Amino acid sequence: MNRGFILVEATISYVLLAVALLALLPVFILAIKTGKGSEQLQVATYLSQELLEEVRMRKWDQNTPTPPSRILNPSSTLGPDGAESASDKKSFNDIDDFNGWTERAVTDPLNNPVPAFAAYARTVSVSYVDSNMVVLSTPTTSDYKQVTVCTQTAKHPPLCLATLFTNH
Amino acid sequence: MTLVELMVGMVVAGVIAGVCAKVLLLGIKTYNYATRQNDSLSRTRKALGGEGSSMGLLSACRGATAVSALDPASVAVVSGTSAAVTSYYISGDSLYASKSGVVSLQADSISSLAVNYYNMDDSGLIRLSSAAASATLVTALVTVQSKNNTQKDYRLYAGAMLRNHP
Repeated sequence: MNRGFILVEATISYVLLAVALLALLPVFILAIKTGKGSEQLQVATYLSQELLEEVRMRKWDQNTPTPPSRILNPSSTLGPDGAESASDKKSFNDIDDFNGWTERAVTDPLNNPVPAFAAYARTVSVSYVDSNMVVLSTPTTSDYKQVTVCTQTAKHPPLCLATLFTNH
Repeated sequence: MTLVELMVGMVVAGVIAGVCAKVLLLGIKTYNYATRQNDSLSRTRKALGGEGSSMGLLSACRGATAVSALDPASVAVVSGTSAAVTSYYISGDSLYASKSGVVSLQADSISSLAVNYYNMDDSGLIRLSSAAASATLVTALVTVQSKNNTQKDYRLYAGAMLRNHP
């Protein structure tokens, strides 16, 4: 007598196969999410770098003369000074004016929005550091200002770039 | 096995086979999406940062002492030692680099390049450059266009300061 599969056995095997394949769905979803995260990381890196270049254009301190040279009395307060507007970065004329700067959507150097990157937010923090890179608390000053620019989206942690600017 | 049982079995098998096929198709689409994304992003990175011995647009700006023209769709910079002009421009759907008359393909599938030039004025405030010689910061928005309507464009926005900054 020949043995074969009954319908119930065959159906059960199909169902098991379908369940096994459905278990792969989260893997595909994770692959797409990871790819998206990787893309946003790369974009955020370039955006952080761009804002660092904007900061770098400014003079080192409010008291830095033109042409620039080393000063003995750097400003002890970090942030916009005098008539500078804390909400308009094109009014900033020195590096530490950017301390506390926040963009909820990316803007160009003249504070005009860049629509393609509306989902990215950027922040800047500036602090005096000593020669061991230890952050100094106000009102202590030094010849080194550390600038940290962070870019992030709503769903991913911030990507931060930091650099040092020296009193010259 | 009766005919009815066979028919029921075939329907169930058909439904389940359809589900399995959808899952496998999703796997193929995911792979294609990841491949396209990597490919597009590497093109935009190559345009800006270069690859190997080929210097990208940003690297060229950082090593340059001046901009030779304020073109919003291309970048032409002068490097310090030789005064040679290196330019980056879009032709067709590719980004080309030209230096001393030698043209090389920088990256393909680049659909647009939008460039702005800035410098600090006498008050120490940033503004758009009105003369090429005064430009000290270049920002560029590079777009890699999708190959068909179902795919997205990829963009990178970056900036580079020239060496002529005081």
